[in-house]
Amino acid sequence: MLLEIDDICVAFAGLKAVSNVSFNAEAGRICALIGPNGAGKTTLFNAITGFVRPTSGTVRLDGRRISGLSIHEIARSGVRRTFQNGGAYGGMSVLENIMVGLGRGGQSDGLFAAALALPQAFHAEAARLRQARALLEAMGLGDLTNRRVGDLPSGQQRLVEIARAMAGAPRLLMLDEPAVGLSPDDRVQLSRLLRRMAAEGVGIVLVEHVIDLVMAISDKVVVLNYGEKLAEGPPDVVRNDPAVLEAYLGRK
Amino acid sequence: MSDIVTARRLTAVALAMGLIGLPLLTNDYSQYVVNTILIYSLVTVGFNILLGYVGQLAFSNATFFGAGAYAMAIGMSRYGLPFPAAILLSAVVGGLVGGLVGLPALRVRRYALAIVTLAIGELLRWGYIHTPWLTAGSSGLEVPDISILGFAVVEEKHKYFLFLALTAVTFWILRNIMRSRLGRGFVATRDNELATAALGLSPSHYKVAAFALSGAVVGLAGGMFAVLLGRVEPASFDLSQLLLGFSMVVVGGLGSLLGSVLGAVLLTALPELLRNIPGLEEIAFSVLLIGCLLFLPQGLAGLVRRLLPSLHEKLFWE
Repeated sequence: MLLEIDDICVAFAGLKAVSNVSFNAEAGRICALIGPNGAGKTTLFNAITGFVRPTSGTVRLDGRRISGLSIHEIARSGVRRTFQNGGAYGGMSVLENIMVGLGRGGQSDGLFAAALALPQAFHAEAARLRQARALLEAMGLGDLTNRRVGDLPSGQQRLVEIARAMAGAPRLLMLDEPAVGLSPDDRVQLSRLLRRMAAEGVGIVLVEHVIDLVMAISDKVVVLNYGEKLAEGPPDVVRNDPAVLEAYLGRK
Repeated sequence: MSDIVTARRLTAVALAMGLIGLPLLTNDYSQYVVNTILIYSLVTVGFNILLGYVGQLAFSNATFFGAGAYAMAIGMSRYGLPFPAAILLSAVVGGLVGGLVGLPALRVRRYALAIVTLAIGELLRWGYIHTPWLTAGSSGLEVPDISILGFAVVEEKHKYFLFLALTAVTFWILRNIMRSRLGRGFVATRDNELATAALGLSPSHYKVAAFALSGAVVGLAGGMFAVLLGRVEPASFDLSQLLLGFSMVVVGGLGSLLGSVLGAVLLTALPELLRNIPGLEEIAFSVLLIGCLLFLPQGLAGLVRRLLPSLHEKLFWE
């Protein structure tokens, strides 16, 4: 199992935002976290990625405990996340964003080799540039390579951010409301992209409000309400679950 | 593309020839001003690493400058170090002080960091005054004349070639660093610390590295400053020194190597040119600072880049 969430609780000043939630996410599958406002989706998301510390419970990635690690340590174990907004580096070009995303991966060149512009540093950098450009082409962002990210519409910024996350070759990709602010066209592009990445074996977990998108692309939906897990299952089952309908639409 | 490369090479060769031939045009005084510009180019670029590249509001330029200058003075006059060893010591001491000052930056940020770094600078200055057995106290410590490989470097023109070589090599190294993974990590940390951590990169690592690098570069400049003046005293590293460096970074352009040079040239040369007209120096300085903040948020470098987009400083090496 790629991601195992076991009995996670998160409390802020004694107030429980997430209580005893457990679920799993598999490699190559898309798992959506949904629920009404204030259900604890984002808190749970942040607990998995290390942005808040769970009060109790464990998160495991490939059987290795990652809860309690710092943000960059969790990322290094193979997790990448995107943000609701402003996650991409606005002052950098699209290519530079991807170059940062390649991070510590790829061929290593020492700091001294880079500082003294030795040939080995040049070759390592050239390899990274090839990799970054190939990734942008594969994600349909090749035309934007040299554009400043801050000048792009928010939908494209989101795609750049996802590309930057993919540059780190994650096993688990966590997306925080990826469809917010996207045009219908952008949403179609996003859905295709996520399905393709899942087909390549990446496990995807997303928090999303756009229910149509969730139902269309998810393999599994986890519904939260008041910090607790209300339902879990394939989209068409969850869609007809009486408890879910009640939480979303109110009691008849 | 190859036209741009050719044009760039020609410009670089012309610039190098101009810089090497410059002493033919100067007298002792103007050569001294040029030497000061070289030193302040390093101060500005070193300070810019923290302020501009990594976005740390750390007022440490006077601190690192003083540490480097005292390392030079003490190394040469108390321990009889030859110049090459002493200038290396200036950079190393500056780098160590930088690394130490960087540790609190991992806990406090923004205004709190500004206050903490100011306090550390004042503490060090207090130390220079109150340890006369080492620093000769507030009267200042004499720096002996230097020589390299038996060749005395006493005249301003001789110091110029020495400083030019040190400055050029340092800028070349910094240019290489800023377009490597380390430089990208600096800018990424400034733009979005949490997003950077979420990519598996440690912002703390980049902050400490930036403080150490900034300290080493400004410390090196401090060592050169000690040689230029022939005497090091605590008053040189007070708040006005700090503000001068800060103004050079802001006027030149945050996060730009080119801007660092432009800021240092303008704010060193302008006061000298206006020196004979009482009061005008301060007025021009203030007007320039206000004008830059209002109309050139990217500093002089931003203005130059608008006219010559090919001078944009990329974060990768191609």
